[in-house]
Amino acid sequence: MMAVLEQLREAIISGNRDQTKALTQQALSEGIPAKQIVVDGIAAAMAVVGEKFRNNEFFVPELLIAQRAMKESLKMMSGESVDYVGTVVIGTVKGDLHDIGKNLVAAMLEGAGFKVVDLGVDVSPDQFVKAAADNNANLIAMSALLTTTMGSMKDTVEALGKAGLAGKTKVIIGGAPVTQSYASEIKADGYAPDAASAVDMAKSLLVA
Amino acid sequence: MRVMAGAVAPTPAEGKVLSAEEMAEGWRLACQSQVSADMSVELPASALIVAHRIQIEGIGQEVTVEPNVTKTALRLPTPSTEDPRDDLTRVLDALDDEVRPPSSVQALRDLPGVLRQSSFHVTAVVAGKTLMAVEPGDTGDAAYGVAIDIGTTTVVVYLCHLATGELVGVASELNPQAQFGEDVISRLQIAVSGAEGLARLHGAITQAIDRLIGRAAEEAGVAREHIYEIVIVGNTCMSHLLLGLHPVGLVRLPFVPAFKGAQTVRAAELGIRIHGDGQVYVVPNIGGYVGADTVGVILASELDEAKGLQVAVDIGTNGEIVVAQDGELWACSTAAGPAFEGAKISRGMRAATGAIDKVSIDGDVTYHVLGEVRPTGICGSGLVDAVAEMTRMGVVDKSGRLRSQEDVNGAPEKVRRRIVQNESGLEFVLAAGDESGSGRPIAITARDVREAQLAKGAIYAGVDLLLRSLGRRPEEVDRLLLAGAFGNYIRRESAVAIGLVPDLPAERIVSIGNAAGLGARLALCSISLRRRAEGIARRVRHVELSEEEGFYDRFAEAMALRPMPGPGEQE
Repeated sequence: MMAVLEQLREAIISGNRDQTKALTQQALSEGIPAKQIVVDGIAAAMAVVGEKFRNNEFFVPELLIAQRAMKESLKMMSGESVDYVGTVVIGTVKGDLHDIGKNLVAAMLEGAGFKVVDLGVDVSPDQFVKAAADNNANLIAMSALLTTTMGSMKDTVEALGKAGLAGKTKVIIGGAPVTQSYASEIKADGYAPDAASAVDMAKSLLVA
Repeated sequence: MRVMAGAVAPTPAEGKVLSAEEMAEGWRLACQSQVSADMSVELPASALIVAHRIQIEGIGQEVTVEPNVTKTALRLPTPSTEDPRDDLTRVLDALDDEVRPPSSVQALRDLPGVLRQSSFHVTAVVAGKTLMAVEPGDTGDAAYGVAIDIGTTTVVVYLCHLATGELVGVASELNPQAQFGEDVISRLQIAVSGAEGLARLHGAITQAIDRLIGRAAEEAGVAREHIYEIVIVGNTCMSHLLLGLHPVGLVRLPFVPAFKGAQTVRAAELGIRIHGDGQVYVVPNIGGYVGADTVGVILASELDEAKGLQVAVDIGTNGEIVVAQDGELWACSTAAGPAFEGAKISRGMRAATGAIDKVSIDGDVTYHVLGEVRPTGICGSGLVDAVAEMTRMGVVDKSGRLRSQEDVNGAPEKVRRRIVQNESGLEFVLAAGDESGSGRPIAITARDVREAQLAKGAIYAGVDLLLRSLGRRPEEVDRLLLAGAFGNYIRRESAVAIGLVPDLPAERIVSIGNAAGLGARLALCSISLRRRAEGIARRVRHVELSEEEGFYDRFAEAMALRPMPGPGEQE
């Protein structure tokens, strides 16, 4: 039973989409619970991918390929009962449509077992806050590529406060012009410089 | 830079980029070093750009020369009691009926003196339907114009003889705005951060143009006063900064430029010294990030009248892609990044003297260096070659991973030995320290391969997606044109091998050089082609790729270093 999960991990890490599909199917037909496939297969594989990324063994292209394989596996889990470690509302901020970084983070969070509500690009503070309330989200994750649009992050933090969700829904931010000092300045709960660190940051905020 | 005298302590950031050995030799990053006392430094040769190699021949297109500015020598009757016509009427009567009086008061002020000083033997300069100037004597056909391509990275000035369309001089330099930021987005951000930022960017480009015109004119023996017109292409951001326009609409959705249509302004207003009443004509834009340079590419390649399915890819910091299907036109831009212009690559440089521009690997590595000197770095075409050859030899696998010596099977021993492990990771040495111009080895690092992969993935995904949005497929393309200074030197076999462009038969891929610049020259030398450019700008449909479904997936798929689309993707 465990052999198939190990093979599934290998397939995801190396980004082999067809094998990933076949092995997920095999795991399901062997009667392995979806929850366990997610935790011991998908999330474990993506943790390895994240680790390799941090160690400069993997680069963005490998993240992209591994995520694509992972998504195939996750797709086959829909309808199955899985335990999420938390819920994240994610989006690229108002005025900005650069979404490659945001998508990388979304997929890494998904791979780590989060329920991810992706609002896409050009997301206003109100949309973030409404989606956080509707989904009872633990986290809002915002991305910006332009210094001219990152101001919108501050607006979202403030809107979240006005909606009475401050403290309940934590905020993490990232993107090329974003820094830890900016995160502190606007009172965001966390900042992550890359997709792998974003997962660690998100997990640490769940505990906090 | 290398510190020769005086000390500067390395910062933590430098520790990440430079090895301990390099730092011990005195290498520091100029951007990180704070000068606290007198010091002397040496710049690496790669920082000193010598002669730029920029392609000026385009497609062998035949063009009827019909310039906007013409000169007519006149022998006017002197005024008499029988012929007391005023000076201006006397000149206008001798010209075409439709020619209007000058729009500048200076031309009128000069007129009485010029007529009498030269006994009414003068030369009239007409721009469009307006009398621009009257010059004493017969100045013959000494009428020149300048076509300019403002690239994000390089500015090229072409000096042309208007009556014949002949190119009499070329001058180019790096776009001095690069000191404020490598890419369009960082410059836009400086421009909107305050009036001073915009003024500096505007000043940098207008001064560069003035300087380049001076250089080209001097070399060709042409007086600045005999240059009457300038035609400029550039991306939308470059056009805004040239005119000193606040690009406020370009930095946020929905990316609205301040203008789209063609603009004509006086050169003097931009501080560019040509004839005092000389004009600058800015070719129209297509949309927020697809500019007049793309109009120039379409005009030069005649894609607007092309039959079948044709694609033009202008490879630069912003990779612009045009698809033409039986005269209908679509365009998009894709953030390829500056990897193919040498930036973000550890030993990367522009296509200038000292750059490795070709690489092949058989029993061992062989390479070619621009300017036939010792190599100081590698440019875009060299990078594409190197990655293609390293992949073919199995030094890099199809996923883009640089293998260690032990992992490589089948490659000759000499090739395998070029893989070295140092503190920052694996790298593949093209030229050892004793072969290079700087004494430092020139190598392709594992990260460089990744940067090339991301850039080529963005371009391929853009081509693929734009075609699919029209219900067409990459393998159906009848002709693919590679434009850009980069496009001209790239080996198409290498571009196909790494999947930068679709896997088409070699005869369907054509390098067309700096087509944007050629387009500007055509619009300078032919008023009907200028009108055609305006029509093109109106007709092209701008597609915003990030809004298109599936860019992210296509981008991920396009990462693989192999011919694309692969056999399984042809369905």
